[in-house]
Amino acid sequence: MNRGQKKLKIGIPRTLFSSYHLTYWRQMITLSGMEAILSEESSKETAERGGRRLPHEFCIPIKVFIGHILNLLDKGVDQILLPRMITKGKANFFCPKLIGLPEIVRFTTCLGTERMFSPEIVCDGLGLRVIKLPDLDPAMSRRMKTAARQANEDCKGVLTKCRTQRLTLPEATGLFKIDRSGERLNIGLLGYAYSIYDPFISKKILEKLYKLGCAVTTWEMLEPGLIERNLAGLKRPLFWNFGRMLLGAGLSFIDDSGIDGLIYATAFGCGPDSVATKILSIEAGLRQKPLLLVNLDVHQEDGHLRTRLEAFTDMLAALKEERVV
Amino acid sequence: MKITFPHMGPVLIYKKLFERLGHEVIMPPRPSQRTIELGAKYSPEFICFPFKIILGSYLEALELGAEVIVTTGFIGACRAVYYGDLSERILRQLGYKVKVIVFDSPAEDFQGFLRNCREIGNRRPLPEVIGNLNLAIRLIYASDYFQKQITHLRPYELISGTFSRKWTEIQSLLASCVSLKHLKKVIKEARQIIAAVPIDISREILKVGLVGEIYLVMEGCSNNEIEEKLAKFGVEVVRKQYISNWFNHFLFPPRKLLRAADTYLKYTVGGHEKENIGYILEFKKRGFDGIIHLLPFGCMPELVTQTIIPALATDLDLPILSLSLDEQTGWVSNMIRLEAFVELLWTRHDLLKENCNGKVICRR
Repeated sequence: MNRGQKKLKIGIPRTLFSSYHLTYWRQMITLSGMEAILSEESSKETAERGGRRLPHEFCIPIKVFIGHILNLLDKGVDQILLPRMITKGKANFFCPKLIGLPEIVRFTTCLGTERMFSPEIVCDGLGLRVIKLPDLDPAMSRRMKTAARQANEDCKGVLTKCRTQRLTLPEATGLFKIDRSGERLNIGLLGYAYSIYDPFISKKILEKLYKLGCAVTTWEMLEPGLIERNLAGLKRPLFWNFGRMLLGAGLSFIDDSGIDGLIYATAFGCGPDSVATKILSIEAGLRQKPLLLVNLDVHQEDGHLRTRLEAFTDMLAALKEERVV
Repeated sequence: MKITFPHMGPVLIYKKLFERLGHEVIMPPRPSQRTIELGAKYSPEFICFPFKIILGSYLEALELGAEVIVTTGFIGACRAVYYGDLSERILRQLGYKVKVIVFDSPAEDFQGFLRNCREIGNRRPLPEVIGNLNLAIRLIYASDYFQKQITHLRPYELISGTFSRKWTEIQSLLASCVSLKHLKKVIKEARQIIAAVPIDISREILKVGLVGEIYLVMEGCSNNEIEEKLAKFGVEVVRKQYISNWFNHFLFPPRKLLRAADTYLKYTVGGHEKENIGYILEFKKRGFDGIIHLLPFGCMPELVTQTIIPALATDLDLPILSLSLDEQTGWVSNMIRLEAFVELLWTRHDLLKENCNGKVICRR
């Protein structure tokens, strides 16, 4: 690209896939000489704008996602990042709605394919790999390949940081900072990154738990080997890449005596979760581990959530005291 | 072994196959209001509707004494993959000592497939097993053939309900079949039964294509007999999803059909969404008046189709009605939507026929 030429602006919707791999995408786009523009944080308006374009029974994350796309279009970006999520092998299926994401966007927002920046990617739940770049001139695609390599390193660095310093994804990338003072309980928090770290969808469940004096453990703090070992015990492992990470982490939390209780936060209408939560709740019931299932939806009021979290943590604290006595 | 299976497609023929292999068969009762309620009670809240019906019918069959459940599975992104495993977990938790045999595609897990076959084969000699399988498959093809015939002729019947009665007759005829030679005779008899029904072929009817999630499209009890209901309005319902068709597509993927859908959806999402788009395109080519698209509430692959449907309807100039079904069995609202849809189709039909551009005509 010439110096005088204007930089191509690529919009990154700050939800769904980028909740997991924001570092990767931002690095890849900026290092290859384009400008990365992030959508604004999701809010009630984002969800409403998106929801109007979609059939009503879609899950909340997709509605929010369409809202983010509309927000990016308002910002006047040249292209929007919409990776084509491909399945290779047995255990890395994306949710069907994610696989069909470019089509959903194309038919609900009338965005032409020429304005989509769609590399083909595969993901095993942790890192992701670009297997085909969109058609670009050779110099650009060379630059993009080196950028992708660098971005991959950075992305791995973030996950290692999560594991070694026991941080959640947004904390490790510096998007989110909280002082953790009291740690009277250790809670295993499960949920997709785009639900539990999204300020609108999650209703700040993480902050609420910290305020209640809980330490939180999530899947990104566990060794991948441990997750796989737990999944290997299942007769039929889960095939969804993000979902299986959660189920594997959940199963290891159930066995872990250091974890006082589990909270699974799922978005209303989430398909993969309907299977995963049932398996997890049966297992938790068999092994007598407290598990709270929270269904998140577009309602603004968070009083119910606070009450349920308070009740759950109080119960866990009482249980812990009882055990000590 | 006391065997049961999901209520899907020609169940009497599955019964026949297992009986000939020397098993005792507990027929899953035809899904009813009670089945759906039972299933919904013990299923995860957000799982798709077919799982709830199937779990309900398992529970009813277990009450009748079934010990083994035989079902199919595959590897993919759709939740149908976990039906077998999830229902086994739930039933075990409820205290049933049940075994679920899941037949995966032999291409994906050949060892497991062979193991399952050996178990179901009941130590019978291989030629006998293959002979029985052959007969069952032929019966399924015959049964689907007659079902197609009946749905084709039903809107012309003079006495409403005759074909539905004859259909049960034909089903039991087919189920009584013992050999390939006998099958030929049975087919002849069934043809005569159909030919004997009084019909009025001069009647003017509409043609509507039925697409969507395979269980809801195939099982009359899950879609409240939508084919019969529409036949009463003078609408012929054509669907492509039959067990025999599923076999065919499994053995020979319908490349042409899938390629036609490429302009709308290039990659497969996990269910039958590409086939459905292909069917819609094909129905348009064959001059159908409209399409009805059925999906279970929250179905992941079909929701992707549903986002594409508005564009398809505009591009093809074809009315498409999407109905999302779940365990709420109040059917009145859907009935009203169907009536309105059929009324719209008639108006379009008349406008096109009389070629009066834009002039509003009332049919009755």
